[in-house]
Amino acid sequence: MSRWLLALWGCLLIPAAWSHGVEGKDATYLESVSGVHFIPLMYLGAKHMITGYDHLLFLAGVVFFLYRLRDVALFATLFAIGHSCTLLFGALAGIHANAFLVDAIIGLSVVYKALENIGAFRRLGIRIDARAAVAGFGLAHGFGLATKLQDLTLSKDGLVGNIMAFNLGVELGQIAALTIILLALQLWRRSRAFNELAYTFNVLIMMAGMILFGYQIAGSLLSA
Amino acid sequence: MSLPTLISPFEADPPSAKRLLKSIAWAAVGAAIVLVTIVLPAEFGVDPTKIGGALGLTAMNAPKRTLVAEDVVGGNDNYTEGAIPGPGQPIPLPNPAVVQVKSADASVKTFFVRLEVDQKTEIKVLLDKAQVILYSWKVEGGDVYSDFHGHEPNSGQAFVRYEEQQSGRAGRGSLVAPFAGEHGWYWLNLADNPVTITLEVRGYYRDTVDYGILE
Repeated sequence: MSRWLLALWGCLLIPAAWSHGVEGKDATYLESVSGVHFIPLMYLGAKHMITGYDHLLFLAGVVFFLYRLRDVALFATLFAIGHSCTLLFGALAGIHANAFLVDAIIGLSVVYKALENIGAFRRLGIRIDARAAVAGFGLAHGFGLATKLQDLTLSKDGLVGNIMAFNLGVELGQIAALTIILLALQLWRRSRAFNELAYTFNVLIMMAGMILFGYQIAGSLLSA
Repeated sequence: MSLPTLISPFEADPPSAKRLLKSIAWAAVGAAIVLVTIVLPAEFGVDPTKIGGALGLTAMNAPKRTLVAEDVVGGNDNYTEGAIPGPGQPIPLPNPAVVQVKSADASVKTFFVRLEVDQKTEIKVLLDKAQVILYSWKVEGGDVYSDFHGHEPNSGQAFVRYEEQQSGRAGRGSLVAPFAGEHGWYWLNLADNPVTITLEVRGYYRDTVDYGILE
């Protein structure tokens, strides 16, 4: 049972192999349009979220031990508020953050969440308000989204509407991703294996966060 | 809205510092191994352990070798919408290469090659992109295999094929070079006796290369 569920988790994380960021024909499309294209931009936002392994890992860490729906809703909303602020602000104000640095911080956010989940901060006697942390790292994720969006030459005409549409799509994508993650978690929690493997799984999430961090730092050093 | 003060069961009852440190160390070592042996070789071609190379991952970083073969004859693909010009004014040419005004006459060159049984040869014309040639070849004495093709210098085995004849005695036509490079013919004598090939190339080209009898 637990093995099957792990396989399910694996499926969730496989989109990593497909794409990250807004690439290829999507980028060409964005560069060629002018005016507001609400639905296509919304679709791109949702796609970015659902295929963005860094966002998904962080979300998985956040909801890992959340059993009550309203807690899930609270943290998802905090994360959404956080990344919406910086996505809208960053893209509208044209702030070009260093993509590698932002993605490295996003990797760190994954490490942070996993450390919190396995009780490392509590063992150290550090009390971090989980709500503030999730909203704070949400800001970093939003800068990541804004940077990806700005890598494209968006037409000035209809810029605000398009960014809003992209942001709305990101939120819809987050809801879709969360639904799948929660369903998988719910199934897994029913088995005894959950309690046995929860710790190990969070250590693996931490490792994945470290890999993301190392990858981005290497990218920033090697592509300079 | 009530908030769980302790989100994870491990926060209520934290594992020992030793166990936590061990876990973090395992995660760090695991991450370092994956990074050094897989991610860095695949993403950046950095492969200190040579494991990425053994797994074929560094190849993902090899510079892509591409051949751009453009439609230089018709040019309708390049046609862009524009305002209708005034009376007596021409519409801009979508593809300027359809007309190439020169100051000198076109070159003409004729080759004679004698091929013994099973011998093969190759004659190439060096063309700039969009340069035009007319060609005509014929064989006396028997059938040959022929392959009219082109490739870029230094492009290794990659080539584009214009016309292949499994067995024939003549070929004629024209070529507008889709890219700068060598364009020409490979012939193999299929007959049980020696044959003679006569090739005439006419047009605007840089040079010709006769590779002689191939090994």
